[in-house]
Amino acid sequence: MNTSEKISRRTFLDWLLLGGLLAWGTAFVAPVITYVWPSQKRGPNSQTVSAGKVDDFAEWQHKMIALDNRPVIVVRTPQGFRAYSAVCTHLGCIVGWDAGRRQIACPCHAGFFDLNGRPVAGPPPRPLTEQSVVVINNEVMVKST
Amino acid sequence: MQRLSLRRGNVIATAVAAWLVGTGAAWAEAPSCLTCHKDQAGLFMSSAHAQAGLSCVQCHGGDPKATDETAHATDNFKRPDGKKAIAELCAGCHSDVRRMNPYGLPTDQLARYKTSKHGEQLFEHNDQQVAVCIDCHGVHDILKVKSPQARVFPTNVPATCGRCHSNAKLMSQYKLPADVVDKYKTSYHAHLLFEKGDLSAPTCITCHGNHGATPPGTAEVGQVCGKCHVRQRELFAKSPHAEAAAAGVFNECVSCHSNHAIQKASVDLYAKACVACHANDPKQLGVRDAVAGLIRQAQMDYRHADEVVHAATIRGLATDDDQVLLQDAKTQVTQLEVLQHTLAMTQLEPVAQHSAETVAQVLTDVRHMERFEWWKRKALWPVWAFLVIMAIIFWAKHRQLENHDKP
Repeated sequence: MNTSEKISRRTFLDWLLLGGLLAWGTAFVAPVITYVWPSQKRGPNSQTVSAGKVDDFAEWQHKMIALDNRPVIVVRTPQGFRAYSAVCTHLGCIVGWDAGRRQIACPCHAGFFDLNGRPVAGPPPRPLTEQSVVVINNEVMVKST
Repeated sequence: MQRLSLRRGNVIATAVAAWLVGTGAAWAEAPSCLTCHKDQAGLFMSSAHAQAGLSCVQCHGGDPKATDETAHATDNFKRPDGKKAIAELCAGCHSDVRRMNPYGLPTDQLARYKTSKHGEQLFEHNDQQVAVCIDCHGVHDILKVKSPQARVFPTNVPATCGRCHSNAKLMSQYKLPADVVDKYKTSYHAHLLFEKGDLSAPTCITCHGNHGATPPGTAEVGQVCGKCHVRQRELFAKSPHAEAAAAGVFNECVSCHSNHAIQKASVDLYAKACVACHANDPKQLGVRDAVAGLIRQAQMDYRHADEVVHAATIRGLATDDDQVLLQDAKTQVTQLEVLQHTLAMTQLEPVAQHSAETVAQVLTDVRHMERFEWWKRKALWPVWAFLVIMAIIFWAKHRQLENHDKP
């Protein structure tokens, strides 16, 4: 065996030690980097979500989005955007948009809500919970209340 | 004792007088009636009529200045003689649009009453046992309908009706059951009213009407359910049972759900209700089993998925999207429970299919997350191994340095 290729026990241990220390150092530094980095990428906090661009909505058009694990219905009216929890206050069905009546409708028991979220027909006992909507840089942002 | 009650009567009479003057009532002389009718003063004081500024004379006439029986000796004195006269006395004001308009009260009560069984018995057969205005609303202590103490306030209606309709002796004369109020108290409607405090829950008058024979907007009691359960009735109209109902051999909602003792409906109702008519009809029982099976399966699948997602959420898995999907599955299941009134598999199957697909997607998502979680836990082994190896290396290096330092 060539003596120049021989690695002493001490050198071998030193290499292992160095490699281990590097891995250890990376494990300490990586979370710090991921902590700093994504805070700029993620944008607003998780309770505010984008429903899309303003131009994506024609007048009286609606869109369903998820906010805080719950469906939310966003409607564009001539007066602006309205957003409500899409969970019916009767038995918890997901409500939809009735374009003909221009009302929020529950498909389960024919409950209807007006554009203020108030029940106007059927069994729903309470209004839908309103979510606040703001338009930032042409983006429709919905925030849970 | 007698002196004491007399004194108490005078105090009440004086208080009523002071109160009537204080409220600017038109008949400040009314206390002359109370000279003799002391016992009515306390009752009247808290009544809706007293609050409206009325006093004895406006209903009973008489001479309010007289302090003895001569008060009755006037042409306008009215002492209702019999229930028919009572109804007409009340209607004297309550059928007068001009008088009732300021209070926003309807004026068709007497007209409606005459269409009711109570009214028919009284006006056509002079039956003095039937209920007339005062039997439900009280006499001198009549309260506004919205007052929780009123006999006609929703939570008090069953007891008010029960005063006659739970009287077995009285009801037997009319061949009517006397257990309807007791049955109602066991119903889901009563549960909503008394335990959930839902004042919109149906009471006796919601289905049977109050003054009239049936509530406004309905031709018969069977149609009443559809006033609240709109979608169910709409779908029922498309079912094979609608034809039977039109032919008079099927009592719409009541045939399956019963009436007074109605319970919260569940799929289990199929086991009891269908056999009442189809016990010897394997074909129809097959339809029943298919519909019930479809709904039961969808409910079970949803419940299972809900439990799985709940457990996954507790374990810290990110189930946000799956919770939204579950809400969608719940909507499909609830829709199935309503759509079953059509008894049409063609309508039920697509919804059940959608529900099954949604549930399957939720379960697949959770399985993926669990698999990932499993791998993450397995990945801990190399980390532990790395730590152990590093500890061994440190120990070896330590020994090496110790040996090196030895002389």
